[in-house]
Amino acid sequence: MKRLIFVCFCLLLSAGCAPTYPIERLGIINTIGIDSDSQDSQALNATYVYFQFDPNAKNINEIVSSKAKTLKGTREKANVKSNFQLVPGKLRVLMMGRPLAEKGVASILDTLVRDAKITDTMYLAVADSAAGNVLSEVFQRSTTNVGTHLYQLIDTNVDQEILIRTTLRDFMHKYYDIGNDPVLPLISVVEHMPSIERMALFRDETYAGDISVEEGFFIKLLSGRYQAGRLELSLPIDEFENIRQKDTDQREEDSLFLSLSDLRSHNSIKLVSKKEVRFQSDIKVQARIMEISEQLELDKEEVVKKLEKVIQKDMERQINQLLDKFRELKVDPIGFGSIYNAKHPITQEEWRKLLSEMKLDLNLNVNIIRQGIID
Amino acid sequence: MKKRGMRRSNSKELLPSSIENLKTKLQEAMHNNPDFQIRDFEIGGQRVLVFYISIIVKKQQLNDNILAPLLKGDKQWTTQKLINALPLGNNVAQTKLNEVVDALVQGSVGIYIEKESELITYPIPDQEKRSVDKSDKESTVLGPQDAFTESLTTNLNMIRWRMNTGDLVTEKLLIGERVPTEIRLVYLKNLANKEDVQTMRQRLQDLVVDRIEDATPLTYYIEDSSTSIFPQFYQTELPSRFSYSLSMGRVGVLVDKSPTGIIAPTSLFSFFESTEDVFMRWNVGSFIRILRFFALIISAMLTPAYVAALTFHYEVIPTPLLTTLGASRAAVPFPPVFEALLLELLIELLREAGARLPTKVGQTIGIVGGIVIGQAAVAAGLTSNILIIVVAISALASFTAPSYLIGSTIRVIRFPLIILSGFLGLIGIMASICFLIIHLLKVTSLGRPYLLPIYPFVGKDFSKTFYRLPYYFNLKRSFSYKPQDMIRYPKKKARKMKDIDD
Repeated sequence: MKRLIFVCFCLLLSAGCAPTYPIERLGIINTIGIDSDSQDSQALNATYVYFQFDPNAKNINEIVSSKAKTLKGTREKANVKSNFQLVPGKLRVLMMGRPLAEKGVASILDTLVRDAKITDTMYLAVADSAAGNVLSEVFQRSTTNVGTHLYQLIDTNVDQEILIRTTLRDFMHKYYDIGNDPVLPLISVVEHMPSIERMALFRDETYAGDISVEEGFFIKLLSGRYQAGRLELSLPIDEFENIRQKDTDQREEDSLFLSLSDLRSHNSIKLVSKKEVRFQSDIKVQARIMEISEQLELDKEEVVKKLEKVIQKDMERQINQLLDKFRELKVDPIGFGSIYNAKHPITQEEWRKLLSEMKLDLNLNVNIIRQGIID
Repeated sequence: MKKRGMRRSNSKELLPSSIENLKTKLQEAMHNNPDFQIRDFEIGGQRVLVFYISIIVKKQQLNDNILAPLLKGDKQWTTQKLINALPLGNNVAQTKLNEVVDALVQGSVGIYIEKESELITYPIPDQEKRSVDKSDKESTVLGPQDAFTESLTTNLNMIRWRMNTGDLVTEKLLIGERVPTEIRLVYLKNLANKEDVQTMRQRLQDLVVDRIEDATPLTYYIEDSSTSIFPQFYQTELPSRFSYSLSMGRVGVLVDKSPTGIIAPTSLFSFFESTEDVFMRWNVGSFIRILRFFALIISAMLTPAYVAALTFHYEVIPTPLLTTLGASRAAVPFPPVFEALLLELLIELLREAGARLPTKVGQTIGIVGGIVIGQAAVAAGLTSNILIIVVAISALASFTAPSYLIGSTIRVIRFPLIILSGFLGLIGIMASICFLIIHLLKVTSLGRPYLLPIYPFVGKDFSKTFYRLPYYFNLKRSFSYKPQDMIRYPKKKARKMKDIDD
């Protein structure tokens, strides 16, 4: 019994050592913007957006900036400016300024991965100017909850398969993988609101260039699979000249606009020839037509066949354009290199050299399964 | 059986003796009790002594069946003649003073005919008892509503009536040195596990106490571990539950003057079974039973989880909840542990006050407590309104347990859990869960593991413990408790439905 009391007493004493984090005293960081300092190229400028639970405060979000050489250092500095203890446990979005991204982000992300308190499923993004400016402009000029806005902006678009998933884990995976490069959303401010306008391409850890969100669609088409994607296409109208129904409206169009939804895709890439660095990709796409700018007789099978063929051709054209861009920037977001590496081990540098010679035989198969319900 | 107590050991021969001598001895033995009446009749020149304690015998029976035949006619009575003449059974011939006194205090009438070598006593006790009522503590919607009363005879009657089979054994035992209480060990001879019956009998026989207050304290004397917070015998006031358990091969104990029947052996999970589950359709019954297990977990874990999350683990709170939680917590001046303890204490106070007060006032207290104090506490900034919901849910969940005993056990367990979670967070909760599981593994009920059928694992019994299946799967009794006969009904018959053509 005496021993039991002694053990309980020791337990109680050791309990005093557990650090407490009562939420009312915490500034819970949800978004960080990091930039390289314009004067001191070695220093980092960090902007923290955090939740503060002050019953008298109107806004639940607070923003604070600080400057230090390391990311952890900026948090220490920022802590001095805040009456709350800044904790990173619910960090959802890390936004990096483009100047910083051009220099390389691996050292910053490394500390995030190392920190067990920080979730690996947080989203990464690149700001098209300084990340701190984006955050503070949105914070000051708009009424939105800046803390959750950015996270939800990325999260909902990822859920709807408009964006590629770009969590910290995905980024680090692609970064360490040979022959694979990360892609991040590029956020700019439009009318004081953050908006994902383009996608940033990375060469290893450095920003290499950007593509539009629409082009981003094809990265996923080639590297992953769609469950319910959507796509807008503009097809040359000449192709449909003879099957086109009499134009009801008087609009003059030179293209046929088409919107596909519930797009399911399945894809497999094989290395066909090592010598030629030639890959073959078999892509099966199933989709539903949701909107079409011309009246076509979609009941007829040959019309649908024709349409499928034109869509296929257009998609192939866009994919090839995108690949040309990748070859030019020497980036490989689709991950051809890792397929190559699986068969024939190669280093990252060797692959970069091979990348410009890379060829892809596309084997695209578009299948329109429904055209909507028309009585 | 061994000698019990001081009073019985100094047994003296009383008879034969003169009438006057007997009178004095009896008066002395009864300590000049004013209710003790000795009536001296002279019938045909013979003196007959009739004595009884007036307030515990049935007057009507005394007059009609004893005094009337006795006084009628001028017979020469002898003890044997009297036994033949009186229309009552259960006559006992007595010669020892202490046995006579024992009989008298239990409501017997003693008759002594002058110069006979023994006197006879007739038990005609008049026991005040309430009539069979609806159960308050274990109310059910479906099924029989009657509950045990304080009278052993009534209780035995209800059990006998439900289980009208010759197989039913009700062994009589007397426990209590100073005030003996009648106890009945009830089981089905050809079904109940013999070992269980023997263990229970042994424990009851070996028990030496001065007096048993009720069936509930009796369980505390004979259960396996007195230090444990978990009840090890099921206590019920429903004859339906009692007889159902008997028919499943359990052993029951009924105590005189107690409205509670004891059932053993039991597992932890049987405290969450209600007889209603049996009366419900199997799928509905399963749902409700699983709901109760969830309620158990919620009741014990929800408030500690709140405290742990708010004190240590802000990461696990979903962001939308975090903002509302933080906003409501910001105004509260206490750390979450104190906040939670305060509100839990408030709920316990309300519950206790409601239970002690008369029903009508109790309802008012419920409303006052629930609405006024709850709202006021939030408005005064003593607690966050989310904690009110948390505490209310866990209090509500603790009331879903069909057994009042296990409900109160869970409510008590919550407090150390809250304190530990306040000190150590989720680690504290984990530590206390581990402690509880280790403890539960060690607890036994009548020598059988308390966590049956999980440990030792008996998968076949899951359908009897955690959920229910249609009756044609329930062909067998519970394997865990090894009844003598496993089969409830043959498999072939279970599946066959008689149609109109058959």
